Amino acid sequence: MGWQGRLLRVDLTVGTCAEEALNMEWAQSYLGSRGLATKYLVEEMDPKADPLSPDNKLIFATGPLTGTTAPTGGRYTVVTKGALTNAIACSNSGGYFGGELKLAGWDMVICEGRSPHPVYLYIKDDRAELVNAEGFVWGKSVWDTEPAIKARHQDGAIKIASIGRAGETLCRYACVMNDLDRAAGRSGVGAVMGSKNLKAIAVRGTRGVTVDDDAAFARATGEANAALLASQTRADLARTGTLSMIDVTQAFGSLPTRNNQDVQFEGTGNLGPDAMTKVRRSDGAANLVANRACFACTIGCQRASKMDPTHFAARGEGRERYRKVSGGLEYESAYSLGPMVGVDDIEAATFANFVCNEDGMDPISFGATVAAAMELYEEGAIGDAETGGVAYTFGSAEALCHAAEQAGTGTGFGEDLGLGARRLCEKYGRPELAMVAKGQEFPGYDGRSMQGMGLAYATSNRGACHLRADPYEDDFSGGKLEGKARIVKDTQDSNAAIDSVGICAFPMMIWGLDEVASMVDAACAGTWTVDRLNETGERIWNMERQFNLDAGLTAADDTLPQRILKEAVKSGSGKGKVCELDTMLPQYYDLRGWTADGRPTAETMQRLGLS
Amino acid sequence: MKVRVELVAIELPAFGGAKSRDLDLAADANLQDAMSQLGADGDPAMLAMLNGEAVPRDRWTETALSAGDTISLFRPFKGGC
Repeated sequence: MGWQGRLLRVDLTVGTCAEEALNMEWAQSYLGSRGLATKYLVEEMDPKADPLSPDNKLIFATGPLTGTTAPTGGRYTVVTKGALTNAIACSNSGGYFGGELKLAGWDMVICEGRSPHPVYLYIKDDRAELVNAEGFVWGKSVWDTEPAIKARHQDGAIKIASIGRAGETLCRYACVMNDLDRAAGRSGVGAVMGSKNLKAIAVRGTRGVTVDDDAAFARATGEANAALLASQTRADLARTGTLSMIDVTQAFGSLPTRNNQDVQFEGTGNLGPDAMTKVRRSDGAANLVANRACFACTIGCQRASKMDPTHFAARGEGRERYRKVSGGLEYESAYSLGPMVGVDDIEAATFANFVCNEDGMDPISFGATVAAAMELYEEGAIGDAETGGVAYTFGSAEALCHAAEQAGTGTGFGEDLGLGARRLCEKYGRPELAMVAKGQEFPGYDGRSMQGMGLAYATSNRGACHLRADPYEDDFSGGKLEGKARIVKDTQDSNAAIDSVGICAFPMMIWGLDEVASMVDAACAGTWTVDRLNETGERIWNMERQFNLDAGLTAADDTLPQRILKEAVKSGSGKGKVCELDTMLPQYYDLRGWTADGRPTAETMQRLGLS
Repeated sequence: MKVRVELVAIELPAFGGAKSRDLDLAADANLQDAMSQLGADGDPAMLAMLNGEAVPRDRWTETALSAGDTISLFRPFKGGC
């Protein structure tokens, strides 16, 4: 138990849905969610396949704790070959879709091929069918798709994962949205879904889940929950969401600003938690309406926001939908739609975030791509002819809002913006202006002020990512350079395990791996310990690495832009520093048991059961 | 001597709702002394900067303070959205 023991295989080319037994031997070695879905992907597809071809596979996977009463036990993962990166893509989301899929009795849905016409997948417990989406929800935003599907099936309890128009138009950083404003955000998994003519997966589940040892599970989850409830960190997360980090990175000096040209931004006062709760003169309300929680979550970090109705982006006829409540700014979206583009207008940033929710775009990649476009414009590499007459200068809220609407629908300059920063900058002859690693745009931490984060970005299997490793405490407390490789390696392994059980990353700020091991051990067959979780995570990491190598990536891709390697930071605690990747990377390869050119040795692969 | 203490995105009971305050310390006080006086040293997640530079916890005791210094306290979240 923990696992449901079955997966749904959907052949989109011929239009069939079939139940299959879950490979439990693999489950014992790779857990679920990220780990198990990646194992299936590695075994079933050619790593050299074009991500937007029918040969790519798109896997929606829950973990053994998804759908249980484990605190935050509602997560699922979308695993595929990334449209943005041409590398392994593994994108995790919360909300309620993952829990519902598990409650319907499915560990995983594997989508293969390409439908000849647009469809959506409808699952109700044991029943699954592909339904025509043409003339129905294809061409619609996420915000219109979800209610339309619920109305058609006359069931408001259906949970839906879908793409918006960005996914349909193959925006390279299109994401899969669920529950209207939760996202499997990174690496263009939504573009892969769009390339398969698959609009949505709608699921209703009433079967329930079971665990191996009810009493032990109740004890373990009760203790885990008690630790969360007693924590000041939990209370802070509920109060501000992650948005308060903008004050931290500003004070520390690691806030990417104007396409990483700076690391501190003069406008953070207009974007942080205080700005979000400030009562507006225009309507007597604040941007923040409430916090919200995901399935089984006792933290409640989500923001629900309402725009200023008099703001240029929200006022007027035809824009009523932007005057409603939707998912508000969190740290990453506030960074990318604020300092990264030089904009200090919380309402403009909220609007852009709303459009990212509405049409399914990763706000990190979108914002960093707009930042690249702004630097291209200011450098004269692009002009009004390309942008449709809009001045894409840093700080322009008008340009930000224009970009959101165009990229969301793939129209006008949105076609260029939908390429992502790397392809956009390559197109206009300035590749060095793309702030990416392996083609994926940087999250909100500068890799010069935070050396461990720089190494984490460069070595992440899915491209620049702030979630693969956990160098935060060491970086923020001024840890020494020689310790970074160990911290990055060890936390990449433990995070891979955590991503594979079906819980959120946030409780890990309060728990250790012991709490997770206790819950997994009680839920699942077999004996699960901290050591076994770490070993499983290391196995998953190396499996992903091998996929990337087989896809054609090399050690040359474990790098960062020249700006991060050569241009010193101008202010803050990292003043004068560049990222010392050249020093850290060989240490990292050595700790990993890899060759000097970044390949897992035969001995490492054998030790992990991967050869 | 007097130093300035700023809270970055956190609240502490010793501040009574304010985001910053002055702290009176002995002339030879170090960063650990300041953290103890504020009741902040018992929180393992609490980090400190001195005049904008991060100071690891294991160096708090050896980090001397001077009049007019600014200590910034924060408790960063890790990862997420």
